Amino acid sequence: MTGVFEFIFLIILGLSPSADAKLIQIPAGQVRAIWLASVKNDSTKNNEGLPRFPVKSFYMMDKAVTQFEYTQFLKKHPKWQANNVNKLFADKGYLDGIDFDVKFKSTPMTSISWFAARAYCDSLGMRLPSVNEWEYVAAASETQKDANKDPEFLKRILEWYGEPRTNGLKNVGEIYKNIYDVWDMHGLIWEWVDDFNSSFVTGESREDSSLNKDMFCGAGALSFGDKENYAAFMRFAFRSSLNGKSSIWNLGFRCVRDL
Amino acid sequence: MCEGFMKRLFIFILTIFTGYSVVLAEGSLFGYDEIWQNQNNKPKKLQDFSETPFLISMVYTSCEHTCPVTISKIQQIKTLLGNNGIENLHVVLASFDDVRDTPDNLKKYMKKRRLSEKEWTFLSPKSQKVARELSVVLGINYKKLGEGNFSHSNVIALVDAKGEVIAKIDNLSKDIEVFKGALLAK
Repeated sequence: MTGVFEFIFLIILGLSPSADAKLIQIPAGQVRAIWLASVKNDSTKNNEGLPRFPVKSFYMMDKAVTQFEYTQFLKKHPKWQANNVNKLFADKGYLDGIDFDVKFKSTPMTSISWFAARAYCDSLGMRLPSVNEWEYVAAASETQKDANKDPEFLKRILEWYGEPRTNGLKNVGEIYKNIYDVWDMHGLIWEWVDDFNSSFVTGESREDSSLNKDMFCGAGALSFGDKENYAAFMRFAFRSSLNGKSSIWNLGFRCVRDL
Repeated sequence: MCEGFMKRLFIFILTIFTGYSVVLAEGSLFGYDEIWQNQNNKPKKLQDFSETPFLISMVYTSCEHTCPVTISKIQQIKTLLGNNGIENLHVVLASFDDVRDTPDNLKKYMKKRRLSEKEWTFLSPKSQKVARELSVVLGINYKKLGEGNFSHSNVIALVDAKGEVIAKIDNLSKDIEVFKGALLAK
């Protein structure tokens, strides 16, 4: 009897669209914390004083979660449907403008809050990547693991950021595949990370410069490390402008899992 | 079973006649239902504090600098409100630190700081995941640093009996009169 259930389960698994999202094993390594102040506090162009954080090996979805995949999730978890969702967990932009009628679309899922993205990953036994994990994978170009010093790569990212998006979002798996075989870490959408609220760029430059001690406990963190990498600075500024409910038309996500 | 039925019937009648709904109010913190352990190792959800308004913040007790300041700021708020007829306001302090701030250690900390269990509850998270979610719910930024340290923003929020945040400071140098205003307006 159990065998029958297992068989049915395997069939369902085989048919489920999330089977399309391949999991890529990302090898362990170190991420150069381009977003932190240099340890030496050296304002020269040399980045070697930047702290490095170890990143353990983990699995990451090779593509961002699509609208179609999210539709499947909503069917099983009606509490995340737009009409039912607790207002603590999503703002007005949640699922706004998402065209759920178009099946098998490879449009990335966007207009989704941190809480909802997290619940989606949770439903697959996965989680959102940490800042460190995301930046570690995103540092890779087609040919290099750490292309954060490659001016060509950085230029390309900045061009993507500046591109007008009048025609809406492109499909997942169409921009570029990096050295790990992970698609579109830049150029498609912004992506949620689990600890998006862990950086301290407050948006008000007055506060950034003299990091208000009454506001923040703990030192370190807080002026930006790699002045050359403006694209990374933009990502951190963007993240720190978000709250958990923020649902934005070009902010999506992908999930990761521990080994 | 009878009791459950009566309760449901009561809520049903209440819903019909007063428009009262069991659905949580917009943005009620009680929609966040993760379970934490208090200093006595008892499971607690935020909703368990819903009888009266309460103050909530997040700390970690091995912090030597700002966290004592947070606590003394909360004591100032309690004194201010006490002087205005709102006494014994309950305080919930949830920890960022799932490793060091075990229920036992939180209990020791409360003794050391002479914080009575009647008015203070410390909560221990079972994982970073649980702490992260509450920080996002409360709008607190934090980052786990090495050696059991956390860098975090300081938010103190006043929550009403429905779970709505009715006053909040996001900076320890901000004026605490907002708490008085919010509670006296109730």
